[in-house]
Amino acid sequence: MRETTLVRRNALRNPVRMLLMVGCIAVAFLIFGVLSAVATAFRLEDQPGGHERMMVVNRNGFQQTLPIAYARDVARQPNVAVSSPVRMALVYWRQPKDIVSAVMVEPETYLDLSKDVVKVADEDRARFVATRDGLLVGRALAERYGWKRGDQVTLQSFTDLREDGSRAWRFTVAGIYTAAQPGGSELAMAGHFAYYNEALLTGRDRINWVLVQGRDLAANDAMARTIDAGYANSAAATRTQSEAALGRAFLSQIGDLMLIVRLIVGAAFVVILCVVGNTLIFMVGERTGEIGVLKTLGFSRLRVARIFAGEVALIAVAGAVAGMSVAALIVSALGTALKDVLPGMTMGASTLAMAAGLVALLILLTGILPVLQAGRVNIVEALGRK
Amino acid sequence: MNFMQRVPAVDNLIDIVDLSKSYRRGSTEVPIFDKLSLSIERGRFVALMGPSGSGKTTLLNLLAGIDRPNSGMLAVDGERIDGYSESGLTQWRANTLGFIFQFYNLMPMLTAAQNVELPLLLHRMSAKERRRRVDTALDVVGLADRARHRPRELSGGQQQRVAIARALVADPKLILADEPTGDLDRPSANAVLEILRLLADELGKTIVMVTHDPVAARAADLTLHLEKGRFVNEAVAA
Ligand SMILES: Nc1ncnc2c1ncn2[C@@H]1O[C@H](COP(=O)(O)OP(=O)(O)O)[C@@H](O)[C@H]1O
Ligand SMILES: [Mg+2]
Repeated sequence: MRETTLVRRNALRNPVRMLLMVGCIAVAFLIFGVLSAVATAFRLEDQPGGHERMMVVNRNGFQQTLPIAYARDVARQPNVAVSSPVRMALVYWRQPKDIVSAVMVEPETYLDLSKDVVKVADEDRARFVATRDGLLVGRALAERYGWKRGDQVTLQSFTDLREDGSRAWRFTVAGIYTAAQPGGSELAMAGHFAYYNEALLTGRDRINWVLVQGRDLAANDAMARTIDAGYANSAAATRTQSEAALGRAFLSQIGDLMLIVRLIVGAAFVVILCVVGNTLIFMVGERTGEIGVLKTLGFSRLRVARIFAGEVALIAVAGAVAGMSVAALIVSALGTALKDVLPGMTMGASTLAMAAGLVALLILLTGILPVLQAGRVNIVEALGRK
Repeated sequence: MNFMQRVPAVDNLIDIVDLSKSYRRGSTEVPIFDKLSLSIERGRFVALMGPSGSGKTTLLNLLAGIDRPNSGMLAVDGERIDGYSESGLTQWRANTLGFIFQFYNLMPMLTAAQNVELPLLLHRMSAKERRRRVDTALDVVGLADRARHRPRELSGGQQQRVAIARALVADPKLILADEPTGDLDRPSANAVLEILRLLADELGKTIVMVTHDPVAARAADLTLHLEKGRFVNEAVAA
């Protein structure tokens, strides 16, 4: 027999209480595991090239539009090497549930500016550029709908009306792109702005942003100030910033989400801290007599404390492993179900590392009082209490 | 007549000189012992009798180093323990002492053999040596066939014999027992006393046993009567 045998036997002596404590802890870790995976999936990866590329957007957010004329003005700025106007279009194919996010662009400049995001074979690029109603479709999207190069597809706009009263634009699949980075999205598509724009009833000649590549990175800030100053008093004032800065603005919203996740997880942990801590203190009180006996046999304060700490650790680790295992199953099922909407939902190493940290914290916080209490038990008093 | 003066040149395991102990109850000091002296020879089986509240358990606790005197000298096998720190006493108990309780106090979730093995967790030894010692101790108390039983599967008498094996397994010089037969029927009590007798006779253990039972006291070599914190007489049994 070893000391660990004593710890194990102690833990299992009241199976119902043990199960309840393990269950409590497991639920907290389940909440933590699932929410962390969801929150991680929402986080943007650091976008390559984002530091040099700038975006000119409406001061009130990129959902608001800018006149296409801005794109021509911006292109004339001395520091601008390449610029490209982009209009967002939210469309669906056949049924409204088949939503696709599309951008309507100036093909050549757009592809020049997007080399780090999308990879396009030369023939595909040439065909897309040359086809007025051409579409450049992400590989995954093309596979999902079974689209081949040359296919005619009709897309319905959620937001835009045509002059002829319909919402349908006919496109030809001109090329397929793949993600330039592993894990990048292949679920979007691009069409020609000119083709989309000419049919519009309302909102014609409006874009959502202008992509800009500066010649001299050091001059980007000055360029941004000049552009924004030029429109400061116009109907559509602009904000020009790097994609990274935009990403950070988006991240700050995700930051709020993370805060909510932390609050929920925190609340769950505070609750189990109280419940488990209280149960452990009660348990030590119940075993005071036994602690007195152990000490009489020559078990030191430290050793007694260690035995109880071991028991606390066993319960906490069992709960954490159970909770994280169930969370992993749920995350994997959710990940499969939501792989298109929310790709990248997995239980990562950072989540597991954090779970390990939480277990340690839990053991420390719930264990410290009962363990100290166990160590401090006075033998004479403990033995008198029969 | 002072016991220590009567046997001056013998080999004492326990020497107590001018030991005082009092408890604080509220604002008043309640004296239990005032300058108590006592010596017990090595290998003796001593019974300690006296009315309730006379200080028997307190004396045993002092001898066990789980309670501390206010003043005086307390030596076991020539080692003064009255000045030891808590951790010093803990270590000393692990090496020197076996303790038997009235209510056995076995760990309910451990088997008889594991209960007996418990004190050996405090000693470095091979698994084989450990097994041998546990087997021997269980043999001595006649419970080799119950090694794998849990306490609740054993009678009171059997549990107390397991407790004796536990007190014995680390081979201590001194065994203290607080009313070890107090909770047992006559036959079980006799079995326990027989084993204690054997520990003194065959293994040379020094035993101090608190008891209310005159029959139990007769199993000892010697009975000390404690009354209001003083020894009133000493009688050597046959
Ligand atoms: N921890 C303590 N605090 C205060 N008084 C105590 C304590 N332990 C024992 N006493 C008192 O000391 C006296 C002797 O007690 P004890 O040694 O248990 O007697 P016995 O075992 O002979 O019945 C009793 O009056 C008891 O109330
Ligand atoms: Mg008593």
